[in-house]
Amino acid sequence: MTNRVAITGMGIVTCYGIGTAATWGKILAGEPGVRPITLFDTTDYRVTHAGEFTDLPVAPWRRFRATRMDRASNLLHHALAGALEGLDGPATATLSVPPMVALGTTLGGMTAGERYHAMYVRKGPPLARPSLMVGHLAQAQVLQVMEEFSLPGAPWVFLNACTSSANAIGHAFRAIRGGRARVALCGGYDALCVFGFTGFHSLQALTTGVCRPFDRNRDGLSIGEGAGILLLESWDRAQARGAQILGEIVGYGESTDAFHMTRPEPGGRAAALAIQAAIRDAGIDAADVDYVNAHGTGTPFNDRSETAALVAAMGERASTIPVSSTKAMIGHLLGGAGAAEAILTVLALRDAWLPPNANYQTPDPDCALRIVRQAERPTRMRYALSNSFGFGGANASLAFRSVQADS
Amino acid sequence: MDRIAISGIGIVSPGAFGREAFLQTLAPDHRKDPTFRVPGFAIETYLDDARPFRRVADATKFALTSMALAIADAGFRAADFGGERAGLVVGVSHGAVTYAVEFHRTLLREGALSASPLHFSESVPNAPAGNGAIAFRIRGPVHTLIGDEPVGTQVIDLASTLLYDGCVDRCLVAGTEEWNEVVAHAYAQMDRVRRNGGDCGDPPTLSDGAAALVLELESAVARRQATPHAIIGGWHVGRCLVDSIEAAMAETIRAAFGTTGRGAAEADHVVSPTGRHRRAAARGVVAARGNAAGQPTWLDLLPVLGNPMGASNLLQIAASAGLISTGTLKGPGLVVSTGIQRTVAAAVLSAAERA
Repeated sequence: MTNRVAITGMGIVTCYGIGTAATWGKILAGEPGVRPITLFDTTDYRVTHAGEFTDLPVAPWRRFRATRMDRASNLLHHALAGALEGLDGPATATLSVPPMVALGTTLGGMTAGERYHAMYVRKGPPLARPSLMVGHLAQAQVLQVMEEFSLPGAPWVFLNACTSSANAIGHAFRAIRGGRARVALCGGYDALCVFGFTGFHSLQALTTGVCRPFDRNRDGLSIGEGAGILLLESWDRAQARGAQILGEIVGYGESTDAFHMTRPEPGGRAAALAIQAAIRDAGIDAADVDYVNAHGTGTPFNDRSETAALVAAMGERASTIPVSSTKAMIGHLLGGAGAAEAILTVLALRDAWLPPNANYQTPDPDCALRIVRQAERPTRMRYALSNSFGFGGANASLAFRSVQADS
Repeated sequence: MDRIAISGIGIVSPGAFGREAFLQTLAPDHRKDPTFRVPGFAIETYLDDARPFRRVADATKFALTSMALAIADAGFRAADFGGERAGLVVGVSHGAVTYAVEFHRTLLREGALSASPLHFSESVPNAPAGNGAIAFRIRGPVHTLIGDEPVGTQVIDLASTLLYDGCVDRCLVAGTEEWNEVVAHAYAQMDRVRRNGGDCGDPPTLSDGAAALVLELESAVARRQATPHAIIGGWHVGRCLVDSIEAAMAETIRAAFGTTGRGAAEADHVVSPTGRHRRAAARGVVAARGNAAGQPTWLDLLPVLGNPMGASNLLQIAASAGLISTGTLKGPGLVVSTGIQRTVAAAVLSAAERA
């Protein structure tokens, strides 16, 4: 069985706010979202900025005490509500089947883990609140929102570092295409927390200035936070219920570097395999791809390796195809990055606008790509790729098709 | 339809390294290790080149060792196992939490600039999978799934999808967990609360260990003239939202048997959970079996393993597969698991035809 896979709902939360409109408009305007951190004290750090959602509103929880829900759970709630807002009632009832739930995260319940351990160290073990340890299990937030939205079944929670949510989307895509699921909610999330920020800080992966993906003077990434959820259905099913189809997923490729835990393979050979697999899976050629939303972290290693991968996978086309990374504006959402960037790619296809690669000033001969400096109208917009790469050598590429390509 | 075969088993448990030693620990007269901790060992004994992995966390060390043992048990040379047509799926609950605790403790006491990058990069939950890919040169799909105790069955589900979809020819699956005093303290606190508040049974002792299995399609094992230890005929993972654990478990068992053409009443042995809700799970098994004549053999691994959370379910499955493989038990075997977050899973194992 091979079903076409329609995207019929999208919810996104970034440092710009809640919902596709809040984020997309500012992305196209190239508005910087990375600002001084207010969530915790950064006095001891060399880096003081992140893509933080300042004053993140508490979600309208009905089944849980809102004050006890952590930041990641609130991000996820807002994104899930956004993905489901086109439905006229509860998800399972309106869709008539319980959706498969596949989500990715890197840090999951680390906020809860941090709080437990801080109590353990500072107040003594007997005064630490044990329920926080269950919250530390990275699937805790997913289970909370599933209960809140009355979604039955066991979730798939992928934890493949920064490819987590791209893998979750790819898994759901394959399940619907292969007839193993009819409807899926997929994506990912991660909240800004001291542990994760300090971790990337200790690795000296964070920029002390501004994040400049693919720029010759790039020196690191900016951490962000947020969540993205997509509602997927088989094309026929979506049409039958009269759903608005926002886009189509047509391909997914994955591979592994098997090289180093934190550094990408310099030649990008394994990443190229993932990109090629996504293109092949979509039944298209490299020449058909009109835009690439790059992983583009802004670290010297990643951007050079990703360029090599694009060249290896797409040949000469790699130097002419428009490429941009949106991480300079919203930061690196870690486990949520693949999902948020998938949504931005679908919006680019829907509106036929290419999002800019902010802060790009000086071309790097090692990154000889056609970087989108400012938002622009492409001459053609039918297929686009979204790349995600992560710790542990994980590579994933998703291929999307514009709904307008049908007409 | 081609079935999912277990062609290799690798174990790192408190009392055993390797399949045969593990099966010996299941004998009723075997002396149990009351500490439930994996003893210290040199990873160099098990890996061709252990240099890149000398400073990894225990959860990763256990996983790599169990993977090496499983690959060898399946008849592969470690150098030949990997490549683009090989996959790896790892399940964990807390993962390499000792490094995470150390990282955070340093951060709290000495400040951000003193925190070790190693304790961050090797504490991420996909560190066992990432290092496994490096150790065995696995360049196909490599995934880490997070869950409570039943995550092992979900790991098998994902690996089976990769095999059936033709993404890989062989897939290593593993579950791993390391004991940590902070996590153990938190669960002990919870269990004290529950004991005071009502019936929860004996709280399982947190422990550590790892299990790895090599999964292939049955036809692929036959092509290389090997014999699988066992076949995984059916499986299901569910979650108890409003039902009782007992009802959810019974429904999950029926769903697991649904694709096998057999019923729960035919199970000749049941491997009971090492996690919480053990009594309710047992009642669920009885309910799913209905009025079946005779009693299956019940295997309780808790006295042998403790509860190594993310590793527990694959250790259970390895026990059933190993005992079927040696002919100690005939099968079908039913492996049930329950988690602290009310997830439930069941897997059905049966004997493979001899090559």
